[in-house]
Formats: sequence, C-alpha cells, structure tokens
Amino acid sequence: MDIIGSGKRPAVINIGLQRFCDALAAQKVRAVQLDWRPPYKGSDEIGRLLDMGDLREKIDAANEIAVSKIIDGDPVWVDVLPAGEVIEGLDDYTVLHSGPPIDYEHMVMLHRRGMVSACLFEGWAKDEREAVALIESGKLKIKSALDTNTVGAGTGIITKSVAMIVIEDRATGKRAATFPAEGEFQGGFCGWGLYSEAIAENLRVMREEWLPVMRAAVQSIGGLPIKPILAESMQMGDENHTRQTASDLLFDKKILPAIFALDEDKEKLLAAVRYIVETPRFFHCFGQGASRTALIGADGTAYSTMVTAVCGNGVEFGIKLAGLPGKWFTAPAPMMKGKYTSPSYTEKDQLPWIGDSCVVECYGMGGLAASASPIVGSLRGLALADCIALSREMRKICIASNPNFPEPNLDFEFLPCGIDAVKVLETGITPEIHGGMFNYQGGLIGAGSARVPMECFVKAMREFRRVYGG
Amino acid sequence: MKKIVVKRNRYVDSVTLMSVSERARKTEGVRGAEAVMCTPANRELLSKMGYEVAADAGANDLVLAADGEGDGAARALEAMEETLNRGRRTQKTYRTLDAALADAPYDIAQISLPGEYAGEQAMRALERGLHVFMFSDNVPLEEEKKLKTYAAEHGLLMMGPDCGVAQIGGVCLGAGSILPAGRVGIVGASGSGAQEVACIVASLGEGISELIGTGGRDLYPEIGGIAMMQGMRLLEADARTEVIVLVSKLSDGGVMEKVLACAETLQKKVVAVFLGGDEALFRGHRVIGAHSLEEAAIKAVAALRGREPAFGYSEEELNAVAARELRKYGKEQKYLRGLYCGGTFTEEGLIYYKKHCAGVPLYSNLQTKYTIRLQDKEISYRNTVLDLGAEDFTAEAPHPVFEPNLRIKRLKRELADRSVAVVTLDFITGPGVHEDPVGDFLGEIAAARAVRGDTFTLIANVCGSSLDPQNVPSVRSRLEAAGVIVTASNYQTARLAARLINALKERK
Repeated sequence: MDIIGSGKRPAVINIGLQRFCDALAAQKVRAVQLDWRPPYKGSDEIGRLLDMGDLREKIDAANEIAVSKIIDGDPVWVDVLPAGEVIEGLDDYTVLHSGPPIDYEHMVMLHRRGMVSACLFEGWAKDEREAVALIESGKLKIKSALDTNTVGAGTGIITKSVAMIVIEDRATGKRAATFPAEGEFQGGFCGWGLYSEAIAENLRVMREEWLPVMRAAVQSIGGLPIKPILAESMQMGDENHTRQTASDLLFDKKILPAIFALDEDKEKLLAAVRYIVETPRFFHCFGQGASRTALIGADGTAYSTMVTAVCGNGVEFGIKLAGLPGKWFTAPAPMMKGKYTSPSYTEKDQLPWIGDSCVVECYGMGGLAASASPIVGSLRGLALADCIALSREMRKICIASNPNFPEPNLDFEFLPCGIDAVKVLETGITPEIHGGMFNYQGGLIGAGSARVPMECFVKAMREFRRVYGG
Repeated sequence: MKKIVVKRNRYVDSVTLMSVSERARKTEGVRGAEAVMCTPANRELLSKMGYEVAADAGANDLVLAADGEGDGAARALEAMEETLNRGRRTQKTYRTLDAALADAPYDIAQISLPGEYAGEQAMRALERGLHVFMFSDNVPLEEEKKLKTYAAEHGLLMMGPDCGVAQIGGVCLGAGSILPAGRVGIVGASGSGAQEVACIVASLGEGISELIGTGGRDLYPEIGGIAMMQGMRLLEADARTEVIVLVSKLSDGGVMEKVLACAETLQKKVVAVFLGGDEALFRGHRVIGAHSLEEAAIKAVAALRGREPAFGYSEEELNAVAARELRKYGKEQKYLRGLYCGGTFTEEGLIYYKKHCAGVPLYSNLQTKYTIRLQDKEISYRNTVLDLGAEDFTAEAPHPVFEPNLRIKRLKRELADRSVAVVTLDFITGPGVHEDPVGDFLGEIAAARAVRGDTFTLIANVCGSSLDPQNVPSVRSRLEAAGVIVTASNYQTARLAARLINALKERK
C-alpha cells in the first residue's frame, strides 16, 4: 500500500463537489477537478455519439486551437476589390448564393430571381428568358458563398463584378470579402437578389465612385482594424447582428477623417461620405468579414467540433464544423420569431431562414451576445434579465470566453464564443441566432431570432464519428 | 526595471483600464503600472515616464507598462493580465480520469457524484491503480461489495461509499479536519465519529498517523467489514502508528465478532468504540472497549502514555453549571431541542439520554430504538432531538455542514418556542465544510436574546482541529461571547443537557 506510511503526500483527482477540490488546494495538495458530466439521457443515438472516451480530449485540444482563431485573430479592413479578384473561383458564369448548396430547381423564388439578376447584371444574358435558358443549360455554375471566402447575407447573390470589402486577418493572412450595403437600394442586388437598371447603375456608382474613395482612405491609414470597433460597440448596446448603431458611429469616426484628408474633389468625397453615413447598419458587412476570416482560419482544424458556418437558403438550414471542412449538415430551415415592420405582415408572408449572416454568431456575437443588446432583445419582447439568461445559456455550448468582449450587463464576464457541436448534443441547447425576416416576394419584413435545428448537429456528429472514430 | 507589453488591436475602455493599473500598483515591489490605449497623448505620457513604446503601436493597441524592483515589473504585468482576464470563465479541463492521468500521476480519486454514477467512476479509478475516497451515498450494497472486494484484492483502499472523512498521508479528504501528525491510527465507519475521536486525541496533545474511512455500511453483513479489517492491518504495518482506534456504530453481531477477532490478531493496542454496544460486546476480547467517542480518544491517549488524561467536566463543574442555568428558566420552560448536523453525534446524544434520562420520551425525525418518530419533522414536540443531516432533511436542502441556513431557520423557530429551555448544537470545521459555520447563528441567537433575555440555555461543541482554516479557538470564543456554553465534546454536551432535562422533569 504505497500511500499508507510512506510519508508521501498523495495527489488527488476530485470528481464531484468543487468545494472538495478547493479544500485540497487550500491544503496545498496537488489536486485536479474532473469536469464530469452525467451521461446524456436523450435519444440512444445521441448517447452513442457522445460516448467517445478519449476522443473527447482530442476534440477539446483541437477546439482550443480553433477558437484561438477567433480570440487571437486580427481582422483588418485592407482593401476594396471586385469580387472576381478576391473570391476564389469566382469566374465568368459563376454565381454565389446564401445558405447550404442547392440547385436552381429547388431554390426559393428569391434565389431563382437572383440567378436571373446575376446573368443580366454580368451581361451573360440579354433578358430573363435567355437567363433562364442559360441557367437550365447547366452552363451557369452555382455555388454556396460559404464554400468560398465570402459571406452571402440575405440571398447572397455575388458575381465577379460586384465590389467587395476585403478583410484580412493579420494573424493568419486569411482574407474574406463581403459585399457592402447598396445605399438607397439597401439589400438591392446582392442581399435581395433584385435587378433593375437603377440597381445596376447604383452598383456601378458604388464600384467606380464611392468605393475607390473608401479604398484610398483605408489604404492611407494602413488598414482599419475591425476588432477594436466590435469590442467597443459591444459595450454600447450593439450585438453586431441586428444592431450596429454604435459600431457605425465608431467606424465613421475612424474613416471620415481619412476620407477628408484625401486630395480629391470635394463633391466626390461628400458622395462617399453620404453613402457611408446614410446607409443603415453599414458596418454589418465589416463584422461579417471579420468573423469570416477567423472562421476560415479555423476551418480544417482536425478533430475540432467548432461550428464555422450557420446559414439558411430559405429551404434548408446548414452548419459546418472546423474538423470537417467542405461538408454540410442540413435540416429544414426554421422560421424566425420576432417583430414585423408592419402589422399587415403575418407568418404567411415570411420565408424560412435565408442568409449567411449568422457567421457573426459563430464568432460570438448576435444571439450569443444577446445580453449586450437589451435593445435588440426588447424588439422581441425580452427583458434585460432574459437577454442575460440567453448569453449565459449560450456559454454552456461554447468553447471559450472571449477576452475581447467583456460585457457590462454580465458584470464584465467575457462573452462566450466558439460553438461546440458536442456541447450542443450534451446539453440539448442549440444556438440562438438573430436575423432579418424576408418576405416570400423579397425585401425585409422584420427582425427576430430562431434556434439552429438540432438535426444539423446530430448529422454533423454522426459524420464526425465516422471520420474520426473514437 | 521597466517592462512593457503591447497587445495589438485589443480594445479596453478607459474606466476598466484605470482599475487594471490601480490593482497592479498595489503589488509589492511595484513602482508604477500603466494600462492605456496607445493614443498619441498616452504615448507621450509613457515616454515621459521613461518607457520605450514600440514605434508602430497605435490607438487600437493596448499597452501595459510597469516599473518595479527585482521582478516587481513582471509581477505587475501579471497582475494587470489577471485583472484583464477576470471575466474568463474557462480553463484547462479534464473530462476523464485517463486524460488527467496522462498529464500527471495521482494517488487518490475523491468521488462525490450522485450515487447512481459514483460506482462506475470508482471502479475506473481502482482499475487504474488509484485509491478511492467516496463521499457519495445511495450506492447499491452489491456495488459497494464489488468495489471493496476488487480494491482489497489489488492492495487498494476503497473508502466509502458514504465516507465522510479521512486523512491519508497528511491530506484531509471530504468533510474532515486537518489533523496534526502523530501516533494514533484510526479506522472509522462513521465520519463524524472518527473525526470527533481524532480531534479529541489532537486536543489532548497527540496526533494522527492515518485516518482511514470505510463508509457507514462497512460492517453491514452484506459487506462484512472488508475495509475496516483491511484498514487495521494497514495500520498494524505502519511504523508511525502505535495505537489503533476503531470507530463505528454497532452493527450485526456476526460482523462485530469477525472485526474484533481480526483486531485480536494485531500486535498493536486496539481501542474500539461501537456506539450502542454494551460491556458484553467486548467480553472475551483483548480490544480496549470504549462506549463514547471521547472515551475512545482518552483510552487511546492512555494507551500511549500509560495514564488517562483529564478531560471534560468534573462532577462539581457540571453541578455548578447546571445549577446556574436552572435558575434562568420560567415555569413554562421544560424542554430540550437537539439540533444536530453530525449523524454520529445525534446517535451518541440519543444513547446518552436514553441511558441517563429515564422516563423522558425523546422525539426525533429518525427512526431509532431510542426515540419516538415525530409526526411532522418540521414541528418539534416536547423533548426533540433532530439529525438535520439525515436524508429527510438533505433531500430538501444542502447538508448543514455545507450550508447552515436550514439549521438556522430551525434554531429560530425553537428559540421562539416558549416551552424550550435548552438547545444543543454541534459544529464541524475543516477545509471542506462551510467557511464560517457559526457566523450566521450568532445573529439569530442575539435576536432571540433581545426578545427573551437570558432565559434559555444554548450548549454547543465544536468538532475541529486547530489546523482547520476556520480558526477553531475563535469559533469557540465567538460562541461564548454570544452566551453559548461551549463544551469539550459532543459527549459533554449530552452530559450537561441530560442533567438539565432531568432537573426540569423533577421540577414541579
């Protein structure tokens, strides 16, 4: 019996009450607390998926690496470029869309219309009939935006000539491009899949007149770091999905002096300034770009169960995991609950979830940061306490706390980040996601939230176990 | 020496930064500490203070700068990082025994999971060569038997299930006290019982070699005393142990015989207390029998020294205290209320009252041969003795050694009852239990005194060691300052309370 009478002070593994581990620490005994959880009591299959022994440790280690891409990333706005020059594989006759991959035949009307709009905008077809013929011939390559280095907010229609905001993660060198809001046309071509002469003209003006000014401005200051703006705005009432009121102002404060310092025609500068300040939620695309660069950095981390994509195409909803790059795990798209912009709208007008903007939830904002924005919560009838409870709930399915986001309403606890598919199965808690509600006919009709369907996580972990064993 | 760290693109608001630097400045050996965003103004300020700031640091970067003697600057930086990271809620975690063992070796697994999960973890630990201390209860007897058999066959200790305290290799486990090292080895099937013996041994100036817990059911016929016999053999072989003390409640006759026979085979002196047992139990055995916890401790010390140490009240002292207290009571005050948190303490008290308070019926939440069961455990009746650590209470609230609220509420109610003359309390200290077991009682006692004046008697004993973090001498003196009579042991509490009950009964 090695420990009796040997004079050796035993080291202890504590399984259970934390106070007993603290008591050992107080005695200066080498002790460790085991993070024991009761076995899952849900379905047999989930129980089997979670019964993984040592694999769990590998997952934990991998998830630490994956989540460090979020926490330690350094996203900087560096450029404005045509989509074709920055998005991988975005050649002629290629159109990106939001959500998991889907073919033209099964798309919702918004996406179908977007495909046609894309052909017209790029001049691949003269009219709608020709565009449809082109699409049906199979010549048009249709891809999911999240299978490339961009994000498809709304319908996410992106073709090579659209001017994109380019964010670079200076920690990893990864680049992501996101499309800016289209001024008075708001969602316009990219977000809403609309096409008209006026929209095309607006995209041209953006590309040739406003964005070059912004490009010159941002390059004159050596790039604009995004993380400090996100961090500060998260203490000012933004959760940076539904609300960017503070981040817009912080962004303006940084970029406007640089614009005015340019040696350019005053009218041209003012046009760019008006575009920036008059477009609501202008900063949204920067937050998405920053999130996307981090998640691209995490993608491909072997053994990681961190969620790197959460999106819908109006039909299906899909997620991706860092350890299973390129693979989608889908379920029927959920309906969002929230407030309509007009009392005349009902659920009948509403499209199931469409868009990729939950990339910000994957980063730890939006629904995960519900406590940071009681204003957004109140939109859905939530009290501050409900918002706090939501963020606390989200902590249970997250890998880490993000020291960049100390949150006043949580008494400066760091907001959670990095959704772990394993914890989702263990707890039965699925991620809370914020978003805009789309009309079947197009256009935003409200804002609200939903939960990612559990089915996505079950399918993902099924594949994960197939690939990684355990 | 000055040190500086730049954290790129880390935004922290200026109010938070003020508290970051302020705390670091209070660190020893620190001359100065600054945590600022690197704006042009702050850069200039830092330069003036003599810090060299990297040329490419800008307004989006956080700068931590510190100046101090020796490693003062490094410690200040550490302190600043710590404040910045105080919102962090995650750290390196192990989910399985194997993962923890892969990083470092361990000797003991301490398990306090719900009973339905505890057994599986214990078996895993045993299979990996770890000794197990299991605080958990509600583990099936067959499982306990399996675990203990496996452990004994593999030269491992299986302490528990339902093991409250142990001290192995100088490390106090569970709800136990930190005991001074010494010559007395204890094997205890009852947690608070073994702790009381150990603490009295310590208070008499001796110490403990090992305190091996077995769990409350080790002497059940189904288990047959596997752990107790294994424990005493280990102590027999342990060079530091000179006297062995066995502590348990009385159990099945066959098992008692087996355990006593096993003790016969040892060379060392063995003192045994099996609460509820009588003289006949020890007849024909070489074991030194004791009938109370303190007697076991006294006899163990006597076995070491060759003479019995003085302990507890002398008869004269007891008479004097009792006479003084009896003068306080009004006509309507007649009854005792015992509010115990230690299971063995309750048992020891009940045994004493049964023997010494003839013709006084005792009511309790427990089903025992000494008591009548209360109709409603929430409502005391006449002379009532409660075990507030028993399952019927702990099913509704945390055990009172961890969370005193339940017992405080009960105390308040008992003190509001004008028929109550005497209330007894036991307190337990140790690193694993409540950090201030008496604090909240003092307020409640003062409130009752404000209403009733000095008309009732409170008797308490503190089971603890001077090495416990709660500072036992101060715990005792705070109780005394509140007018509580603090006795030397649970047994002495029962002696005094019994004296008062008997006197109250005879007072017409």
